Amino acid sequence: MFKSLYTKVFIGIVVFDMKSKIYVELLDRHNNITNVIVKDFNSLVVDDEMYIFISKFINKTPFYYISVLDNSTPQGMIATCLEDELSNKIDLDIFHHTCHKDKWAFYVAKQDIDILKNNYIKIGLDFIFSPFAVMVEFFKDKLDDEMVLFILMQDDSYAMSIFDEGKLLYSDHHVFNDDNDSYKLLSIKESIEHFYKDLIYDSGFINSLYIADTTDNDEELKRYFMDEMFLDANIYNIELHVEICRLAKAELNGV
Amino acid sequence: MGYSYINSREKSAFTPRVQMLFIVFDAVILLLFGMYLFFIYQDSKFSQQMQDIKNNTIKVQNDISDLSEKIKKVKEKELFCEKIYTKNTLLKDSTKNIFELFPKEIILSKVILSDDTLILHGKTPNKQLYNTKLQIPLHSIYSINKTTLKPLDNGWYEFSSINESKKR
Amino acid sequence: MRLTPSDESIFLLALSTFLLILILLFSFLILVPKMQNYRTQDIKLQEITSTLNTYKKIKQQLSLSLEKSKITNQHLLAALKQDFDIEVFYNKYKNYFKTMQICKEKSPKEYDLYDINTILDKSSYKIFYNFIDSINKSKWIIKIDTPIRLKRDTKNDIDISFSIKVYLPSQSHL
Repeated sequence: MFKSLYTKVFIGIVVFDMKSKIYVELLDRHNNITNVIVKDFNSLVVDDEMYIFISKFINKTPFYYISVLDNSTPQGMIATCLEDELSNKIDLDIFHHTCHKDKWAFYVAKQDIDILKNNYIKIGLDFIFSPFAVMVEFFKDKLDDEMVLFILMQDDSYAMSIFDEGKLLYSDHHVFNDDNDSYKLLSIKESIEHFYKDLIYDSGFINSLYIADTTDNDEELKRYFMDEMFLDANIYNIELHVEICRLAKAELNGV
Repeated sequence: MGYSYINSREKSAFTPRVQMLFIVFDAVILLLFGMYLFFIYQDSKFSQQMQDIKNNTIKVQNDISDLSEKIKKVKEKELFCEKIYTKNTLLKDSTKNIFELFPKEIILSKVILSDDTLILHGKTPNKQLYNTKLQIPLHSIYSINKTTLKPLDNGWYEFSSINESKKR
Repeated sequence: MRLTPSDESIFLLALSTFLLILILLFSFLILVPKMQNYRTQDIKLQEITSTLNTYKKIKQQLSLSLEKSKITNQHLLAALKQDFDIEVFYNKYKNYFKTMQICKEKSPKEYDLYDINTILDKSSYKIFYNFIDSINKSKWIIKIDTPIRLKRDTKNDIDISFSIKVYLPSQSHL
């Protein structure tokens, strides 16, 4: 009833490079952003410093939403929401899935969800987002393109998906223990080749490539894809912490 | 919308502090309202009591006039009877006077004794005796005296005396 | 970055103020008049109760007074209720006289009139005083009417004749 009178707080937590980046948006009752705060913490879990920082915002209002990006593996996307079709592709006892617009399902290991919830138990979590969800939202106006490859590139992981005129053909997700760029790029190349070779689908070559990149390696990436795959990469800078807050608002419908 | 793996927690504007506030104010308002109801109840009780007392007062006033009336009646009866007793006693005294007053020499044949009147008929040996022994005492008691003396053959006189007294 | 006081605090403050105003309004506009009314009613009640008590006292006093009066006058009050029996009267008073005759003369509204003819022994004429005293103390209300007629009897006794008025319970004026 009085929700509209309260300030709303959106908190996005993204883990990268052994650090936690915490992004805070304060919205007034008209849903206009009144304040934005970003802070990095040298901890992967909610330590005292992080807790004190977050508490300041949580105590302002009962309407706060904490969102976190799930980078666990295995994760992926499947082009169906139907239970029986899904059960053919993944073991539904092990994997939890979320249906998106009745078209695709994002899946993740139930265990990994629990681990994540446990890590943030001090502050609690309202939303856990798959990197694929971020990707689909970020590139939503390009989903209907012909044979398009999307890559969400992070420091130590990537997620990729191939769409053809709005239909999901392929998805893949990898997490790396070390910060070896060349190894990462090789893995991507192999993944694409895997798509080409193992074609159950009678589709052509990839037309366009869009990359949402958190790293600062624009030039390197462009060169690699052009050299190795003859693909002209369109690279976009993405702030994951901002994106997951955007997703959170979308989840709350119209914020 | 289908982006998040989990659903957000329930958020309520009704935080514990707000709830506490409502509880406190509800208690206060309840108290005040309770007082209000108490006063309403008292109103009706008062009007009931007022009515009772008014009725009682009327009843007692009626009783008072009743008793006054009864007392008056008793007084009336008392006065009435006392008057009778007094009259009787006066009569007794008058009778006493007559019996005692009269000298032996004078022979009374008839006496009519009323409230203020005394009529005597009798015989007296002589006028002197009559005058001294009868007339004079009668004068002192009765203001109006009328005597007629009639001589008899044997020297005696027959008298009739009408005496009236104006005093009460 | 300095944070403004939390929304919740502002909301609480606004709510508190609103509720406080509500309570104050209610108290002063409704409750206080009711309290004053209660007080005036109480005073009124006390007044009329005190008046009632005064009346009760008066009633008490009058009641006492009536009882006293009844006791003081119990003889005559009883006498006024006493029915007259000519036989009883005759038997009671015949011994005062040598002879006595009594007969009912008339009964006007207020009393019964009786004629009494007696012959009194001359030597004991004083007994007539006792007779009258006894009439006064008798269990009836009897007035000896005037005139009394005394006549010398042939035997030198006194012939006394008079009337008595006997006041009976049925007489309306009492």
